[in-house]
Amino acid sequence: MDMARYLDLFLAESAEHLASAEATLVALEGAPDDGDALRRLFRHVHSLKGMAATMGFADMVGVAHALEDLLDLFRGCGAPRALLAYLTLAWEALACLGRIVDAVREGRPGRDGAAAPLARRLRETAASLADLVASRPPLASPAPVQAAPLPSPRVRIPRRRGFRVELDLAPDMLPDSAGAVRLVRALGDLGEVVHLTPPLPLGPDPSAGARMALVVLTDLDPTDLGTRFEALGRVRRFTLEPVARPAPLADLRPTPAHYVRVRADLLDALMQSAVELTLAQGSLAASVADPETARLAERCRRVLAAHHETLMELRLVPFETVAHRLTVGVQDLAKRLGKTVQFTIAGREVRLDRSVLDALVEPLLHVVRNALDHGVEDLETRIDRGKPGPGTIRLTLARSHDRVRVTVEDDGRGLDPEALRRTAIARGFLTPQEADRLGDDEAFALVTLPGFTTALERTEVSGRGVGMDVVRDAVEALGGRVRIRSRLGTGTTIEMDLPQTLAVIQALVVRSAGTLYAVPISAVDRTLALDPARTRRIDGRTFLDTDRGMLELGSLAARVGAAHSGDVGATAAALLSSEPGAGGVLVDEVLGRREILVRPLDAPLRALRSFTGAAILEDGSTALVVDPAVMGRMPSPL
Amino acid sequence: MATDGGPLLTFRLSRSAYGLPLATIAGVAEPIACRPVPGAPRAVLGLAEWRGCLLTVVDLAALLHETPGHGPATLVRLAPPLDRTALLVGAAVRLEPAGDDGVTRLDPAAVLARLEAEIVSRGGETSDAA
Repeated sequence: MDMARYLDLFLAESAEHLASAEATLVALEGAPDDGDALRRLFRHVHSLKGMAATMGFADMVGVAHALEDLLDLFRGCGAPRALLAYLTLAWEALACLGRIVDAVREGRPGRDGAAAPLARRLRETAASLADLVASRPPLASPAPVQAAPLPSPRVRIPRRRGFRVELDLAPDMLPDSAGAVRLVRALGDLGEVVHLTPPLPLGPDPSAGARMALVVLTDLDPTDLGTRFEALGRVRRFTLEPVARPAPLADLRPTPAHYVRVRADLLDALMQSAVELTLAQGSLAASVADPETARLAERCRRVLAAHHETLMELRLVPFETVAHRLTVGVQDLAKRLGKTVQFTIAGREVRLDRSVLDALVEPLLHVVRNALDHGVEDLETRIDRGKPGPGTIRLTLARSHDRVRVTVEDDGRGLDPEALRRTAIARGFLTPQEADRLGDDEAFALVTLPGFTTALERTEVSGRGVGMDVVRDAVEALGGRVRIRSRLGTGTTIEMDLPQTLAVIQALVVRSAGTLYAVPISAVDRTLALDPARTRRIDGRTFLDTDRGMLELGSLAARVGAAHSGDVGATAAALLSSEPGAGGVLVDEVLGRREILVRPLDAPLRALRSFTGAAILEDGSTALVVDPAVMGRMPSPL
Repeated sequence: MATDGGPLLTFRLSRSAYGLPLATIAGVAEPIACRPVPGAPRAVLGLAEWRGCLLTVVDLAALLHETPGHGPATLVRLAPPLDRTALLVGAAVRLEPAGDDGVTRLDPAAVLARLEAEIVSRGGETSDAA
């Protein structure tokens, strides 16, 4: 059998089982009497062992098998709590399994030097416990090893009846999708809305027609329903029809979601072809004069828009899929440092674009390791300071519109702004006068300067990995921002504000020296027409007098390395950076704001630092997507 | 990607004959218009749209420090994982079952890696911008 064919499947499924095992272990720490959680953990480890055996990864089989035996002891008796004493060993085993999977993913042999001794320790531990637990009665209903079935939808057999309803809405209704949401909520008061066409949000599209269809399950009779519809105010007319098969009503409920595994590159290809289709449709619509063809083109546009939205949704993956790497990383480091820490992750269900998530994991690992290594004090110090013995590191994800805020908070020693100022002066980052003017928040931001972190806190653990400067670079490359808050002696909070998706962004399309560029909106504070009266030329450099002071501007073309950018035209505009203190860029023309699909640049252009990708615009032309860092970059020497 | 053995797409530039393994090629077409990319090395002609995909077009003759040979130029789109890159071959191409001793067999991945390393070594920009 050609095992290479199954490698992708092995990697994907192993990652899922590891993530679930880690989440279950965390749950067991909080609820040590949860026998179901222990059984779930056992099943995940059992699955990992089986997959490893199929692929021939002996080290992985050895560790998983030994861990499985240990868990089986606790699973088979009524004492899941007893596992608490061996959590470190369980974490160690999961970490080892994770390392082997990572090695396989990176094309290295699926082996780990620690695997054999670890498996031996697991077996010895299990052997030493066997007599102890043998006397305990088995759990009342041990679960089989097979995967647990999906939870059944709640079965309610109420007196409710189903009605198919068509609503003819007031004409001012659909452009306001919030109004539509309010209407659906009002409908929800009548019963349970189980199917809605078109789906929410309805969006600002008057051509979609001021109609809505739904199926509602309700206790009301048709007369009462009619009275309620009339009272809704924004419904001009309605039709009401009992559904053909009112019983069982459970048939009308949304079926539980089913999932399939898809290759990410195929998803990307599908997205690209969808965009191409949209572009072609736009060209077609612009060239037709016949009303009937125009109507069909408009229908295509609406279908494509819905298609595009679904594809965007498909690209989003829950943070849960990478959570285990962080937890295992923290547990592993805590053991090495001899510290006790409670690491929690809230918001695991928050979904991010796959590319954002991929790029976020390593910086996030550094931040949490940093919190443990430098933030959380050792046990003795914490007790001296009146803190709980175990440290706390909380990772929280929260979504707001199309942004996701990732917060890492520790209750450690915090940052000393005075010490940071002194370090900045000593290492030549700031003059004493500049350091004096620095607020505390700005002083905390010093740790994100290249070379500052390593100067301050290089250790065996964190100093060898990415520094906080690289964390900031990575987050900013994703179109995000990093903010640090801290209280000396109390703890530090690092906030990372990120876009939920990178694939489609809002951008200003501009022209500079004859070339089209797309500048992410998030990088632009504002756009100004260039007023010669407020422009100064000093030593060949251009400054603009703004309410933010004199800001230095440079031609966008020059900043991205176009050799012969020439002077900006008379109609030039200035795009001011959203970065405080940074200047901006001059462009010849602002063509407008567009939603663009960013396509990554391939070899060799991906090495260019000025661009994060390219986009095909509606008219088929190509625009280079400017890296936000370019906005604040010093102009090239003239 | 294996590039040893197998049929080749061969062509002759001003000084030498070269061959691209067929296994590394997704398709060939006539040259298409490119949009230059500021800061890119001279050998990178720019970006071009091909069937809805954005391709980076690289002038193979410039990359090999050659000048074009005879015959119409050909655009060669590379196979995955380099399928967003195309090589402009400034000469007529022909398919041969295997290269003879006079043909220099090219590995597109290695050729492009050298070009990428050149950009990286200059800090992500190049001085010979288009």
